[in-house]
Amino acid sequence: MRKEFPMLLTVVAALAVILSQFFFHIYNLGWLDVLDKWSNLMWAIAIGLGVINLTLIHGKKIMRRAPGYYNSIVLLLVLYGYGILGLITTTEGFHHKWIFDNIFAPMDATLYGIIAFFITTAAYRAFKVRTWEATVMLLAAMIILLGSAPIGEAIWGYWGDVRSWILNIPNTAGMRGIILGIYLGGFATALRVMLGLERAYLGGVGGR
Amino acid sequence: MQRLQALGRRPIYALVFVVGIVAFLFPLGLPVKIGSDVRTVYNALDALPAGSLVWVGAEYDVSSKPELDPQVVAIFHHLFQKGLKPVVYGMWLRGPTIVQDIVAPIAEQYGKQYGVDWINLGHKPGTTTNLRLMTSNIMEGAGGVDHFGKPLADYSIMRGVNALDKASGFRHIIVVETGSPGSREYLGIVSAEKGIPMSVATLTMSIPENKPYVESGQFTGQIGGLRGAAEYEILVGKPGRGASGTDAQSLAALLVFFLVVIGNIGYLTSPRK
Repeated sequence: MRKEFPMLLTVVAALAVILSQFFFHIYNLGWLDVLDKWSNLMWAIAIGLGVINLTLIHGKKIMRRAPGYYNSIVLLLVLYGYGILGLITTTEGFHHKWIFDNIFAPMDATLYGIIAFFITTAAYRAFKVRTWEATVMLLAAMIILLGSAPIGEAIWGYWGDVRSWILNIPNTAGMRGIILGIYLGGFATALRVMLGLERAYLGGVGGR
Repeated sequence: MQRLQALGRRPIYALVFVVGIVAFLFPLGLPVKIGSDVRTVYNALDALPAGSLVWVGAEYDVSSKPELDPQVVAIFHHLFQKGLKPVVYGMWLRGPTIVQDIVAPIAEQYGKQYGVDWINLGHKPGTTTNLRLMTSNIMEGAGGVDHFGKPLADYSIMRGVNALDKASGFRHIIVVETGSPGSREYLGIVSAEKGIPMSVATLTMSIPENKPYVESGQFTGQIGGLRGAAEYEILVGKPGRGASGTDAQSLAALLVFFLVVIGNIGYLTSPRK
């Protein structure tokens, strides 16, 4: 039953969603709304599970004085400290918001900003005319790069038009193929789950 | 010549830094040409009758603020100039908080009152399933409260607004996005199903993946990166951080181009190709 019951639940829930999407009368039964509310509840439970999981893993690390255990102390302090502060003052409270605006936001933006440095060195090393394919990619990348900023059109008035053509025609054709492939793959996986062929989501219980 | 392909990381990092500083200290002020993707978004919003509700999906986080904040500023200038009523919501945890900080001063500038002319429903857990719930019942989807935890029933803007659909007065959706969940989820769950046109405000790197949807007409248009923000700022007559940021982008793009060229000169002149 540990295997069969979750699988049965999955199939019933999936069928309820699919049938509701395709048949108007079934949609009117309101199954989707009920499932959506249950899903929201499960999100909240998942967050609680995540907190318990983090506490157990890092609590054990601290108890065993494992290498880098002090990082675990910081993590748990921030997790509980910031969480409790948010519960007391709400996320719009002065102290909670101050920490977010003045510590988290600048650090996150800085990490994102650093990517510019890495991308520049990566472009310098990777974009070489080694083969015909690499040359085509290099040319397309340079046209898009300069065309994305006003400097492209300042150099040559039609630079933006060439960029638009690349984006609108070859890029769109390629992206459509990729998107269709992704959705067909997703459909095939969903079908495998519903037919009980894909069991990895059972977390090892009856998994192949 | 061969040494040109073996520049170390540090000089390149230093060059990127210098280019950023130069752009900041000495703005180039290069003219920005308005692209069709941005113009279609502007035209679509401009054509809406005053008082129409516009759903704004704040689907991004602080890491994307430098590129997306200027877009949000320009969009809200336009929405308030036209007398449209934005309803902000976020599947991303911090999206509505970020947008709240940006919009509040702009709303004040136009004399727009919170709860009357615009509202922030805040972030609600449940991502896509909650978004779908919004299309049938906003009160339930929002848990009956706004971003500040106050009852939605207290706000006049929410009168007669039952769901994220046309019947409630929603005429356009703008998704300011970083990734998933974002525009794709809005397209499948809301726009296609409820027949509400939607536009996307996104990062420069996401422009190519959104293009097929713009070309097919599923997205009205897209505002891409700082360049898109600059174009929108020009259209609404409010030049700001988007326009000034494109200078740094121009110089950085030129630097990358220059480095790639000299790297290839070094590669082509190398006997060990």
